[in-house]
Amino acid sequence: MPAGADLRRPKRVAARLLAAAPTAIAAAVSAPVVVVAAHLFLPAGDVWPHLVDTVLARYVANTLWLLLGVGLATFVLGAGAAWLCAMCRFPGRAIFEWALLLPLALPAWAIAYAYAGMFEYAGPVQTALREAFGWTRRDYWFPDIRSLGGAVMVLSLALYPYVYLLARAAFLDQSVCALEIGRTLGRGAWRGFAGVALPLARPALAGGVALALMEALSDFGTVDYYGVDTFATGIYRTWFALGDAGAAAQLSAVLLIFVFLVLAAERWQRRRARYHHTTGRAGRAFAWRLSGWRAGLAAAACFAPLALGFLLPAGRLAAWAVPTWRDRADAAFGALAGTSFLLAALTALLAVAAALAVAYAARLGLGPVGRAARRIAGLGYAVPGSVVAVGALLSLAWIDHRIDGFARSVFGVSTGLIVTGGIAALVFAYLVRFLAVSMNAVDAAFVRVTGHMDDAARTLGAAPARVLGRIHLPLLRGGLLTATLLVFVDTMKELPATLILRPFDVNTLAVRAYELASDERLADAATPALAIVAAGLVPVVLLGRAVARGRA
Amino acid sequence: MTGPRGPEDGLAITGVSHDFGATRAVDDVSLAVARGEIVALLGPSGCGKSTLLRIAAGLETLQRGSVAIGGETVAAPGRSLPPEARSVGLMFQDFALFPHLTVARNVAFGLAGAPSAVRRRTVARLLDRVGLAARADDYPHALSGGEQQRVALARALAPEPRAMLLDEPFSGLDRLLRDSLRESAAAVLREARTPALIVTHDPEEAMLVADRIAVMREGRILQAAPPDVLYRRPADPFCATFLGEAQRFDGAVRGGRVRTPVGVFAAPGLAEGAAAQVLVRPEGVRLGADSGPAAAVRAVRSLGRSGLVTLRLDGGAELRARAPWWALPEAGARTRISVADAMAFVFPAQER
Repeated sequence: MPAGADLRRPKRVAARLLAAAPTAIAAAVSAPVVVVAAHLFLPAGDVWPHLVDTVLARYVANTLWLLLGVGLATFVLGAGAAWLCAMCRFPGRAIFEWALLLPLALPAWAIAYAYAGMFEYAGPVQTALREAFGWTRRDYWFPDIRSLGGAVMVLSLALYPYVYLLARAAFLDQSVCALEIGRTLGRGAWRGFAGVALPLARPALAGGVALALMEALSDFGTVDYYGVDTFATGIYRTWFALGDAGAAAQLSAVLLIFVFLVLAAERWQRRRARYHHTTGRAGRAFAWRLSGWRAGLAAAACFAPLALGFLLPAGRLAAWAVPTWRDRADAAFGALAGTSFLLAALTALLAVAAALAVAYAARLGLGPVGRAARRIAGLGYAVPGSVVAVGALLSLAWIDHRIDGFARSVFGVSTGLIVTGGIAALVFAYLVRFLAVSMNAVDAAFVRVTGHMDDAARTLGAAPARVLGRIHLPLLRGGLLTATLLVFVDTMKELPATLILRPFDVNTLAVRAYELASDERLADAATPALAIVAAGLVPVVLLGRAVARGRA
Repeated sequence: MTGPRGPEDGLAITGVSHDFGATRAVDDVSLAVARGEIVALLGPSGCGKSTLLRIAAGLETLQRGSVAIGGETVAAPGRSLPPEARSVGLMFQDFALFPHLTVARNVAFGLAGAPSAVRRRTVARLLDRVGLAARADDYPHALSGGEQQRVALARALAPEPRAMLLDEPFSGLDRLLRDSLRESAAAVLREARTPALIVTHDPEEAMLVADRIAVMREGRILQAAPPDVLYRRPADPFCATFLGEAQRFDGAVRGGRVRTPVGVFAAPGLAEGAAAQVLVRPEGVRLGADSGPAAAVRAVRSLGRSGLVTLRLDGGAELRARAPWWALPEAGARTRISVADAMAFVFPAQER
């Protein structure tokens, strides 16, 4: 090799583009939120004072009760089941450990439809009661499932797995170091749980509850079907029934305040706390071996959320779908499934590509702006779908008008609504909402690829492209697949943003299920709902396998 | 500062400086490693030694100075060969094995261009050399820390690099393993006659494996010399204290000499009246001298072959001495001390 012949500048253009990726993505992702938040400070239109007079107090009260109820219930269900599975041994534990995640495969609205069908006046439960006791309508009182309480129950059953997942990991982590000390200090099982395990797991528990609350704030399908007026339904109604974009954005802004409060509370409670376990090995050193009635009670406590959150509602949906699915699985259904698949696949691929770009940029080193941008890009998961939809539409409509105006003045043609008229706005809203999901999965995958591996590969003669192909891709493949799947399923389930942003000729499985349920055709809604559940089961089973192997 | 056989066929770092923002990480460093030579770059964490290594490997873009490997300039300002074109072997504390490849495939990674027969032979030979022939088809996670380290060494040596760069290669291992691996790794490196630069913060490790040690502090190389020279003739107070224990006594230069509580020492090169410091190694303190300062034995601690004696001089100063076990005094005894000139180093007082 002649000296100096091969010397060259490193390629910098690609690196510069990559370095700008987090900022560009964060700007795009935060635009809808900024637009909505700005409406807090804009003068109100005619509709807003009317909303304040009539419904705002009800929205606030319902939302607060919903948060309180879902927070308490997911905490009790999730933390309790997690502690039993992590720290105790009883028959069936190995199955519960992963099966408790199954409700994640069900959209909350699907559980809501199933329970509505079961507990309505004409449903099997009340019918059976009447037949058994010979009652008529006036002879008995039965709680109305279509109520705030019903919504709290459904959302808690759908969302407790978030708390369970994080709490379980935290309990397993601390098992060796802290609890044995607690035991040597004379703490029994119950006092060990309340006095040592719970306080130590507090950051994880709060993180899980915060996730559940964020999802509850975002829920539209359940509260809409159960007739509970919250911000999510209010935004939708203001948008479509009253046709007032400004008022819808103002409602969205108030909902954003709730989101911000949940986020802030979660941050505040772990202000100093970085509860790392200190020993490297978090083995399963000891477990309370339960037997007799205790074991039975533990198994029952784990079986209840699993049965109520998955087996019962999924069984109800299946019982509806089985007699009718041949009629429902026609060409129209195929078109629905195709649209859902395409939208979800497109969103998933874009989300993973964006997450990869951000991850590589971070790997090359980010300045303070880039680091902040990276965090902002990951905040979309906290923003409810209806808020994202309103914000996306408002910001993209602005772009539409600019393009249209430009085309008219230069070419003399109107381009119309080139962005918001198609699926671009919808996919954009999905990306805003679910980018965080892909970013988390991709970041977790990158943990396996250390910087020193890159260095070693480079000095062993591998050019960057070969490092990518021989080291990164094989190591990241699993994580990228997980990221794709998670975004895919979340997009399939998404309801409020789809309702607001879909073009007239575009329909998805979730929207179809919503329409059928709104027409009181619950049995017919079961088939599209089950199709989504089937897709949702794939990542949940993968997650469950990781949990069973002790990796999650 | 050139190695025994000159830098032409080794690794030569010349006048390299490197800034991170406003911080100068490496400051005008020149260092050469000859073929068959092992040089340790020794210094506390944050002294710039790892940055220098990364510059030599091409993982950090050179800012000023130049790097030559095997007589070829691989880096000069604005013109840099990428790491994959430099033919350097790299080893890390965390080994950085590729977890999805078997041991054999890890070792073969750098042999991508070679015919498969050559590749197989080289892999077999190196795995045999590091004693891991039986583990060729295992995955890295199935290996112990020491085994992983040996795989990393074999992998780095496989493409027959023109220079080896090792970044704290033994720090990830427990002590017993470290001692034995260090020796075998040094033997493998010498056998391959590859110029090797080892970054470490452990003086004992540097003295055990290196032919020469370059002591680095705040981006500068203070002294580069064979271990015994460094230990017995340190160029400055930092080198003296970093390589071994030394106690400091202050005094002023009078008539070319420094008078301290522990004795009088020649101060060549220091101006008359200047403040000076004398650094005394415990093993240079002789007990039971005929003349010299009187002291009381405060405490005696046996360390096996030798012992540490804490003395209080009649003037009030404390002094630690190291003595063979058969010469250890009783606690409470009185004695006179003298300090061997070869184990006392005189420097100007301004630093530390």
